[in-house]
Amino acid sequence: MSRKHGGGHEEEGGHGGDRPWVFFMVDCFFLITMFFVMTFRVKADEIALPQRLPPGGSKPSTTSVADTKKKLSIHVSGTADAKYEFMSKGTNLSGLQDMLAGSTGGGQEYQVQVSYDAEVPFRHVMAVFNACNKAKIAECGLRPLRR
Amino acid sequence: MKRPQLEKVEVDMVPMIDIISLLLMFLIIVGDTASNASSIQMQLPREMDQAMTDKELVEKKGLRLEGRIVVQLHPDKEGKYKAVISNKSYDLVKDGGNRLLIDHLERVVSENIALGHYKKDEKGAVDAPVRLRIPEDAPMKDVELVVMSLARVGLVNVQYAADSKKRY
Repeated sequence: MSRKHGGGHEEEGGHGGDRPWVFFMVDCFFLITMFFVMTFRVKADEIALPQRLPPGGSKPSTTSVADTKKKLSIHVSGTADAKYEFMSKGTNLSGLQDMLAGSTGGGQEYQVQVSYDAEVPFRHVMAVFNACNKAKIAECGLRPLRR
Repeated sequence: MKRPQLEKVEVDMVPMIDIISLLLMFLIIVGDTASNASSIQMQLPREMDQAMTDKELVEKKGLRLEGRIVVQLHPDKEGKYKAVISNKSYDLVKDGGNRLLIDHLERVVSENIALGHYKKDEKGAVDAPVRLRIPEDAPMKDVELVVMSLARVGLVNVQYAADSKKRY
């Protein structure tokens, strides 16, 4: 086998003639390409909803800091379709968004406490977080289940 | 009979290498391999119109992303949800049984406070950002255990991961 290179110079012998490293390089190139093809994944289109939890969790707070925030409570139930209760008043998601928008404002700071049934899927509660963000309520926490 | 003359075959490698180089460059630029290798594939909640990209979180909300702790919720083979942090999974057990998860988070927080990366305010809130990756179908009884563990350690700056794709 002979290979012609750039300036018409001819090489004799297989495996690259006097330049066998070219074939090692091509092999490596193939392997790298294969690696990238196999591991390729289009950049994840992930976004995030920022939220601030009230600190403390289930541990009783040891500090007594005055909390002037007005507390709003929302209860979420249902598994396939969500049912919402805003301050004990039943509604759907768009109704909840309207109620949150109507209840906030006036220079007052608000804190939303979300309670839920044990088997409620996370997406229904996340929709509440989204509604809170829309109503410019930054602090939105979970009220733990009574076990 | 005259023997057919065999033509010498020449393989020109240059265009092939050019094409492979372009392919490689495309895959490196467009692909997302190492940076997201620890992200578990899951169906995140969708249609969250208030959710933002990392760039928007920094520019519009003034949040910082350095030193972000990523906590993922993932079901095991039996369908039991576990918290996953840096490829290590932690059982979610009610009634304070999350001790291993809380201990790990407390260790991370105290180490970073000592290094000056995070700060704790008078209410006990730590300014470290936490990205929570929770599947949309995860039951709240399991989600609660993770969120309460975070709040207990003082990690209150939570970013709930969502999928930007719309549901059709």
